[in-house]
Amino acid sequence: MDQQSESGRMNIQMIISGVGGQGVLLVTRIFSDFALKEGYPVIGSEDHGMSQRGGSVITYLKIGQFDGPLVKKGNADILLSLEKNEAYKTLHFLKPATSGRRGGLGFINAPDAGFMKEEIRNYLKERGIEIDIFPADRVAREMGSIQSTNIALIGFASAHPGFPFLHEKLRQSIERVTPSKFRELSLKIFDRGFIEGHKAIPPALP
Amino acid sequence: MASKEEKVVLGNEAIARGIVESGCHFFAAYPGTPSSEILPAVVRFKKENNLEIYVEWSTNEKVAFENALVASYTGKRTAVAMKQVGLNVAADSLMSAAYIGTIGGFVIISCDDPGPHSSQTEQDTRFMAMFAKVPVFDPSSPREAQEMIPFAFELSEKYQIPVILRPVMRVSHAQQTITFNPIRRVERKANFQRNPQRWSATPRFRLILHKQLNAKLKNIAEEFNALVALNFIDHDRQKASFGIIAGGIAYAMVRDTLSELGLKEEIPILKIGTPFPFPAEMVEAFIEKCDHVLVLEETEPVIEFQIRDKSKIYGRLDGTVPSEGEMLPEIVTQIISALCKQFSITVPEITPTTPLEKMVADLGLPIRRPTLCSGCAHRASFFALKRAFPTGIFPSDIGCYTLGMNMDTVDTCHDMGAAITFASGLYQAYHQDGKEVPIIATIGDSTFYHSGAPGLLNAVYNGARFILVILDNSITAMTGMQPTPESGTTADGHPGQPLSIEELVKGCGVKYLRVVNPYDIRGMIREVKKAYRYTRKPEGGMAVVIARYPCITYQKEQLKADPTRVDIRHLPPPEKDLPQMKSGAIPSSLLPVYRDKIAPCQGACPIQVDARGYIALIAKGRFDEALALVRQKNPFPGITGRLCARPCEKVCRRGDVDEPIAIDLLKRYLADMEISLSSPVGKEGAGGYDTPGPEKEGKVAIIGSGPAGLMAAYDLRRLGYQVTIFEALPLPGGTMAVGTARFRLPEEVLNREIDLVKKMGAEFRLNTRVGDHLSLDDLRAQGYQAILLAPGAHKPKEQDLAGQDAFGVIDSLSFLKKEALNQEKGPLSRVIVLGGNDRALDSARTALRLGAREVILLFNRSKKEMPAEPSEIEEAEREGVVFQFLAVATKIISSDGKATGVSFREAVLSQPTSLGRTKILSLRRPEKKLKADLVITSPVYVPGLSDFGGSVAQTAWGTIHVDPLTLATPREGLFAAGDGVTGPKNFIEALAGGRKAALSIHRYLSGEDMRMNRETEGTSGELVSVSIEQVDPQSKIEETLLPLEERRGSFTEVHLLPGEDAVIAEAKRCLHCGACHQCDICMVQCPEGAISRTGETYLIDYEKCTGCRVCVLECPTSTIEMPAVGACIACGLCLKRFECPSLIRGEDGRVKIDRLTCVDCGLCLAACGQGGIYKVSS
Repeated sequence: MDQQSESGRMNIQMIISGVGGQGVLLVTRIFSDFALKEGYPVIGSEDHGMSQRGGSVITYLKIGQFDGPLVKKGNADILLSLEKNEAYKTLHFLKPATSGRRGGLGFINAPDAGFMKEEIRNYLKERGIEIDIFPADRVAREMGSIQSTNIALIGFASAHPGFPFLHEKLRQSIERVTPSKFRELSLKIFDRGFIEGHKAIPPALP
Repeated sequence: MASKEEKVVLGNEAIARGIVESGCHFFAAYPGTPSSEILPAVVRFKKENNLEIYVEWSTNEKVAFENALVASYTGKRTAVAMKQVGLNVAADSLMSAAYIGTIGGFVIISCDDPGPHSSQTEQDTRFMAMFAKVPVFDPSSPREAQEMIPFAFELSEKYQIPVILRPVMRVSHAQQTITFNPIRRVERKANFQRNPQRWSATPRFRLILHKQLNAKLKNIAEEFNALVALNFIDHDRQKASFGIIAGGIAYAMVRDTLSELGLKEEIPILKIGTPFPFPAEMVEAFIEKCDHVLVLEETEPVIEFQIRDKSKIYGRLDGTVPSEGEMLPEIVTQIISALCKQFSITVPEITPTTPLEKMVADLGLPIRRPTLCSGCAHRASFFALKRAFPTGIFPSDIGCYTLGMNMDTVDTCHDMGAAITFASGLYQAYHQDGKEVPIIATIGDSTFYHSGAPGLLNAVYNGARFILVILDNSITAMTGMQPTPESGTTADGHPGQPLSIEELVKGCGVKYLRVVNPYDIRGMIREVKKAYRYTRKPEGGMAVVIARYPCITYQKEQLKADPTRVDIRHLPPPEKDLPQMKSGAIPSSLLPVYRDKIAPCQGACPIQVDARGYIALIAKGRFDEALALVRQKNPFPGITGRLCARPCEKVCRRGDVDEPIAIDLLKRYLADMEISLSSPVGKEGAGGYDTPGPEKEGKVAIIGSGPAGLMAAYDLRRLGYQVTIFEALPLPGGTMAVGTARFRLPEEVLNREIDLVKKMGAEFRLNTRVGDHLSLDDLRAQGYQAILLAPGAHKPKEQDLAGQDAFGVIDSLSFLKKEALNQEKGPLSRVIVLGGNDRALDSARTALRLGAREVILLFNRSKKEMPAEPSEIEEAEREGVVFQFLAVATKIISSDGKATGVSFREAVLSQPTSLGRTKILSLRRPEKKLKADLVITSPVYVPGLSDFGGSVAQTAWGTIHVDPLTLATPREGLFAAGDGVTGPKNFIEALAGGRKAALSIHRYLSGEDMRMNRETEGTSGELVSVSIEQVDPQSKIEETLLPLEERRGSFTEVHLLPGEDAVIAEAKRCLHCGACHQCDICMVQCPEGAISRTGETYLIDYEKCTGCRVCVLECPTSTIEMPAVGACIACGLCLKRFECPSLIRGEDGRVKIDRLTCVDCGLCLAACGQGGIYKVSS
């Protein structure tokens, strides 16, 4: 976890993508809250207006020493995508591995773990970019709140050893950010995502 | 760790924070992306901190601007916020405000939108600032925006000048950690100092003000040169080969880029926070130190233009930086890397992302464009508008509803309010050429308040005619649910004065205003079509329809109370990833086809005249063809047009809308106009209706020359048989001649059509009674191989009425017969008629015409139960016949064997049965008496068959016994038709009987089976029933009648002929049930353009057809057939035309409901033409 190493320094660039109405903004708020509580500066950019009406939504979030709100293509450490086509369209933001630094990590909500085209999958693999696919919407629906697909996906991602945000701290952020009406269920869904993540994601290499 | 005052906020919230931290007293705004979140944040800070700041959502930007500006004249600190194009609306005020200046600080926040992401243009507010000559601040981040505002207020107050802050979208909608500083409380009391020379300066003073303004700007530029908080150099040095000047957001981008490239220390950056007035000294000093200078700024080269010596400059003017579009990090990186290489500065290679982007692009993923939300009432409105006006022009406006573009119902979107002005301009442009096209403007409620009304005033004033649909969701939805004036809720949630769109529309002079619920799609279609017709009426004008339904995204609970949950029924999956139609999964038997059907009028006609067909020809003014078409089935249109009981009109579908088509009148018009000289009718080819067929072996005797006899004679002559008609009376025509009043059927009309039969070669033997002297056997002996008995029913049946044998008592047929034959009718001064049928009425009216002083008609039931034609009853009343209803005659009073009156009692009727019939329960006392010298009775008539002895078989009712299928009597070669068989019936039934008998005789004479395939003759029960949902009532033709004063003593026909225009108009009311009349609706409605027209036929291109059934649903005549499958056939109509984001096509080609977003609005039920979407009962 090179991004969150000693003395609390952190420089993380994230992309959160999806479709208007899927709760992309809530995801941003959770991570912003996390950063604020941890004392890291945050800058990012959101889509408002027309694109909120069901169009593609992309949010940029940069935690650490940054000035501009946008993430450059090929620079993102983390991609969280709530919809597979929107995931495809934002894959190129992920950072290829460079000597000594791992590549970007993508977490995608999709019903079919094998949806990604072979050619693209291989291309990413060759560049050290890891993609984990999780049917977050199915899990959220089973738990009784399809609207919490976003939370399920974060829970899943937080099980990844390379994910730079601690599960417990994210949990606290969710507790603070989600409306009280949905809080309890959101946390249950978050934990369920985390458990599923543990089952699906191979443990970190020693 | 984060301190308590640190928060991650949106740029617009940081700006709001800056406003309250500056002690601002007055804040006004009009929403517009990317500025909309500023005001709500100001309100939040106001509430959290109990601030006194006045906040308003103004009705438009100019209004907001001027409210805030003048408040600054009172010494207060004021601010106004809007999007960049909003400043255009306020530009007039801005220009003047620069000259006149302010007292308290006045800060204008105008949010730019490079990209553009949510705007019409990428315009740069910094240019507007230069144009207006006011200082402008350009923040690079939310934090800096917050920090600049106090500076801006100070500067504004110091120089008494408005100051602009222009954040770009990436500042307004950036999120950043900021520190909440303490909120300043600035004590100011409103104190407007009267100073007309300044506040209402005349041009002479303006010149002075301009001079003062220039001086102010010069001083401010000096100040900016030294304002290191906003204009400073990163990593300054004495000498640099490459330096960058960055304005606003570009500074943040450049910082990140240089960090990433490891060039932070190498390349100095001059950051410009105040691009106007230009800190020239500072900039020129920086350029002096560098060998090469790159200028980066959003969006236009404002800084670059102001640099006088551009020899070292790289930027937009030399093409180094793209001149349009947002400046993204990868673009900045690319520009800097390229220049570094050029200047021999080492830069790391950047791995391109293009190969991956290309691979993804090659997948051809659907572009996810913004759409109206699930359940949005605008979708319903647009769907209705497109259905109602498939060829309309749709000017629209700025708001959520601009997304109606996806539904093909937004043709223009220009600026706030342009829907209305464009519509009126379009109208006038077409109108100038004498063309009228449906123009339907759509505008949201908020936009209408913003700047719609002036355009509407203008449209009304200048006589424009179009439909304005105000899409009223009672909120400013697109920009984040700001209240509108209609809500009466002000910006900070206090109740204000609610306004009414209706009142505003009426105030603009609009006379036609309707409010509809767009969720009732069909109702809306009906209303907008009505509105269109109003715009076309001579006395019409502008029509406004308010489609009112709350924003479903704002008021989610709206549907929760009464959700309409739907599901989709599926067919087995198609083989290919295609709509079922195209994949061939739909059998060809289900493809749409054109097939004409029997119209109700034709089906109900006993002789199957194609009324729909000739009415369509009349509507086109093709009278001769219309008459020929009538005569194909009916050689007696003149008589029929007067005597027919009109079963066609009783089933006419138009009658379900308003009144049936006056079919008889149209037919009469055709028949009568043919003989008038100036007539458009009958000029050519009547279709050989008046020529006999090639002579055949076979002689037929017809006994009786009434309608049945004449019809049979005509048909048999057309077949070529020899026909002799034996008529007992001295004139031909049966009851048409002797049982019908002349004023209803003029003699010349009757004779003209009887002459046709004569002309065809039928021999008439009048005054020749068959029976006693000339028996049927005698006729046989004379060589008549077939005999048709058509004697009618002329014999009054004995009735049970005391005194009926007195002199002066006569039955109605005998009375009319005497009149027809000019026989003596005896005294006729006070006449009483008993009975309520047509003949009783004819008798009563004839008596009046013959000079009776008084005619009283007694009928034993109520008026509405009278069997006579209502219009005839009405005319009889007008002519002076006195009606006595519920009057049952008990006795004819006589004196010396001569009738002197009638006594009667009042009937007590039972409740009507389901068929509307009543029974007489009892007779009330006392018995009343009426005097009369003539009593006309209405007995039941039966055929007089006694002359034939036993040679004609009879039924128990005294009629002739026949095989109903063939009208053959049990006796070889003897047939019978007309009232003699059926008892008294209408004339048209007799015609049908004559025709039937003629066919039997033909078969009999040619030795064919008489009974084969006869079942389908006559009326048809399988009738088409067209949709009348969208048909508007239109009044029936007005009949012209002979003036009353001309009727007395005259037998001139009462019903006169209408004019040609009226006849055509009446024909145009026809709904053309079951027959295509080339209305083109199917063609223009087909969403796939699969229907084309050649001449009078249409072709369906089944390659293009998706099977959506819109053509079937829209065909007003039910001519297109395509049975609904009752399941989804994946036609895609709901995806494309209805465009609901909750309906998605799965990879298997099937349409599915996205339950995540579906709000159970149920609107798609109205969109699906296949019955594939159905309502699920909860």
